[in-house]
Amino acid sequence: MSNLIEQLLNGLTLGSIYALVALGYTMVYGILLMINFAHSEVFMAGAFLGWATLTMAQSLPAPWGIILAFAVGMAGCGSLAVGIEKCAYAPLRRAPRLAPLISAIGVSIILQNAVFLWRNDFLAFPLVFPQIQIPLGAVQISLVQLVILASSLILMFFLWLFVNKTRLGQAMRACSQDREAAELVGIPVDQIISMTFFIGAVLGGAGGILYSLYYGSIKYNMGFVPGMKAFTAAVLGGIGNVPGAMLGGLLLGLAEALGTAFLPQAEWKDVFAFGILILILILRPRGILGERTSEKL
Amino acid sequence: MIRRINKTLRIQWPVLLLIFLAILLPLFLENTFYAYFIRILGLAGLYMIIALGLNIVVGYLGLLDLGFMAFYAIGAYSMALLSLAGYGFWWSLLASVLITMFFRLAVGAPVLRLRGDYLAIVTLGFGEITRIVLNNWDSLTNGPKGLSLLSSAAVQPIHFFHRTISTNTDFYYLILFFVVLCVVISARLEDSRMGRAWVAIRENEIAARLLGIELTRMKMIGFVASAAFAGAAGAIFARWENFVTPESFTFWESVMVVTMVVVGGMGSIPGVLLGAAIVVLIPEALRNVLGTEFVSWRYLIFGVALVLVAIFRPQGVWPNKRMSRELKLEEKGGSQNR
Amino acid sequence: MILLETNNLGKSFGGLVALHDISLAIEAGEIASLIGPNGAGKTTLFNLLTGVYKPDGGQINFSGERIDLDTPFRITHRGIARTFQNIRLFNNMTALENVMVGRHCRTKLELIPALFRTPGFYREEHEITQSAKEMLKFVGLLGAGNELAGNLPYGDQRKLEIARALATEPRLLLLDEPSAGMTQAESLELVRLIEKISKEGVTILLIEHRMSLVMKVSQRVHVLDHGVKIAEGSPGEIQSNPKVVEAYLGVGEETREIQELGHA
Repeated sequence: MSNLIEQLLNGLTLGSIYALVALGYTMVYGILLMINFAHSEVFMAGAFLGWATLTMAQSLPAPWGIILAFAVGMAGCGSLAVGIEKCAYAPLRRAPRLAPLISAIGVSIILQNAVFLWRNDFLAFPLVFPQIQIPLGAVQISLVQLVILASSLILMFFLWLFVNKTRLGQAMRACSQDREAAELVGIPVDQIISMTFFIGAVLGGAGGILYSLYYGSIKYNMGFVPGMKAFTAAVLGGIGNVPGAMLGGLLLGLAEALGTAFLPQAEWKDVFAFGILILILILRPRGILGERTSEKL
Repeated sequence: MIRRINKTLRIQWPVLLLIFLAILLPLFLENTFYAYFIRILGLAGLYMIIALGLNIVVGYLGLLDLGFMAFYAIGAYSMALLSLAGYGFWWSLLASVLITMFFRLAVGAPVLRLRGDYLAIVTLGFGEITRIVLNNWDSLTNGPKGLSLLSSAAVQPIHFFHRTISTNTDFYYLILFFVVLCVVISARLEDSRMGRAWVAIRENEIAARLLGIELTRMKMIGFVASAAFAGAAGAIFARWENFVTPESFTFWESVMVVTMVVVGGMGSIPGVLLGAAIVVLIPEALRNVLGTEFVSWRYLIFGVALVLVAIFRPQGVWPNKRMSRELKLEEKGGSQNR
Repeated sequence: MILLETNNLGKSFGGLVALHDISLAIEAGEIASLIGPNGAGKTTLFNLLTGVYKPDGGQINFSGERIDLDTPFRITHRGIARTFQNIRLFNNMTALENVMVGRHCRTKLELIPALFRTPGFYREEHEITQSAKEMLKFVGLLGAGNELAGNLPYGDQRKLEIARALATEPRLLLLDEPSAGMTQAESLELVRLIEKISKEGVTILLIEHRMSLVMKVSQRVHVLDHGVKIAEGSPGEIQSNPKVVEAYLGVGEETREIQELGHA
């Protein structure tokens, strides 16, 4: 029983990371109706920026290193995403739907390979947190897991505040619902779009660092599978729906943890997640919290 | 006589010339320093076959398929397993193609009614699932260690009338034959009621549906037909390499084939052939001009090419020319002026 | 003989009632119009007729048979074709090819004949090409046959859409705002084309905002407003119907047109 609870805690931990990354996918999809394929590489970039910062800031006392890593990682990823949006997606806003997808894949390949050409193998991520277990009732939770859960929840809370309680967040929601109408009421849509990419990437980059803290190593292609899973989480919760992405991430993490109990081999776990994605898209494409949409004839 | 062949096959003379040269080429290269180039051309040919297959889905139907190489893998593994079981090449080839088409049918059935971007993700998912299954089902596929066809006595040599097909040059001609065959098949499909329905679906799905075109069925036929190409190529590759392993069929390979079609020209037969040639020949060019360490730059180049093409030349390097058939519009009764 | 009739047809989207209790009948061979202010539900009605939506209430009968649960595939086969408010041509296909796609539902050969180029294949392709050319000639676009549909001038694009719909050999042709964006001269050409189509025996139902066109071409006019049918009659009757004028009040252009035509 306690083993099950520990598994579920693992699931929640990973799930919260999936949720962070899923938010990036869902917000961009909400505004532009496009799947930002390159988001998984932003996740990876966060991990690498975090690694670089930690490596260079080794002399700093305890919490400052990781805090700086988060700052650099998140800001760096945000800028990267805005840059990608301006160069590779903005020119294609009126193009047929296939074009931005192809461009996104291209960007994804470019980013992965840029890193590959620099370092084509695993890189150890510095052990920032001591490996201590904290008792939680009948079970134990590691410090890292606690940090991850806490950070994710805090970030998600701030996002929720932003989206629901600020004017900019309101503008974002307006653009998501009807871009043309938002433009007509004077909302600077281009800037809102850039901001959406920025925020999504900030969360994704944070997710990348948290993921690296958990697994202890980074690699040029580390974004591929977690990216897929985060996208699955976004679809599960209802693509375009912000609380949906959070819910989807946590649910997927839990489901994966339960699945692991039956399919111990690591790669089968990935198949499980893909399988869930396919099932949702076939059976209930709008996800849990999503709404039915249809094209105007 | 050339004119006669021209008329019956309706091919233009530059194409015939190209085929003629392609047939002669290995004879010139064979015993020279450049003999290895025959193998590279053969590989290019295999990719041309795959690209022609993907062209049906991405080019004509306009559906982004990111897991196409999974079917190349299924074709290869089917051929490997059948060969190890002692079955002859030609029957195994037919069987491999049919097996591949069957899997495509099974995978396609539930997902073809999904919208474009979702379909892209799902095909990617299926591609990965296929690779993972091949990598982990050790009892069938020998997992990451792969299947070797060299050691087993059960594997029959490939007979073609009185000859055997075994050298790089032999495979070159086999592949060349299949490239020409696949071009003919593609051209015939393109210029037919089916081909027009596919392009109509790509251009405006709603209008196509309201003109009485059954969307799911037409997509399914295109989907399954495309898999035949990939399966055939995979099966040939398995016997050529005499070795199959899951690592040859990754997401990267699928992206590479998409690059061939998109950069070459979606829906354009000469375009995708050119795209395949470019994608295979770029690493070689890199190797010879800049050095072997630059070969791994090829994916970077493909990525940049994809972005540039998407933004600046979405129709590809050699676009599809639907107008080139020049149908005579004047009828008895005089032409109508606009 | 009644070709198409709807009985108490209703359609809602979530909480919004788009159509309520719509009952109308179209006689075989007639030219009828469907008018009403924007948002009245006219295109929704077309979508119900062509199987894009399923009704929430009531039924649709075509030639005596119930069709409201049919798929667009079945409905096209039965002989109902339509054009669209926002032109939906296959832009990267030539005009001729666009019309050839229209022949799809009346032909059948698929994979094997295409691959092996059987005599039957060539026969069917010849028939498709010939009838497509006939359709282009009929609407006056034969010379533009090899142009890409996306490159055609706007008025020609609308004509092409009609030609494509005619290629399906419809008994009932639904035209959704065919004169939108046309000049007055093009609109007159359209009137002639519609009459020409009617002479071929095709029943026509059009959604239109251009009152001059409606009055000139229709034998019967049905008026919708806010999802409800408010009037039906000959063009003359509709012009003097106060409910119709009131429905359009404030819209300006059409009210003026109606009143002007009433005084003409």
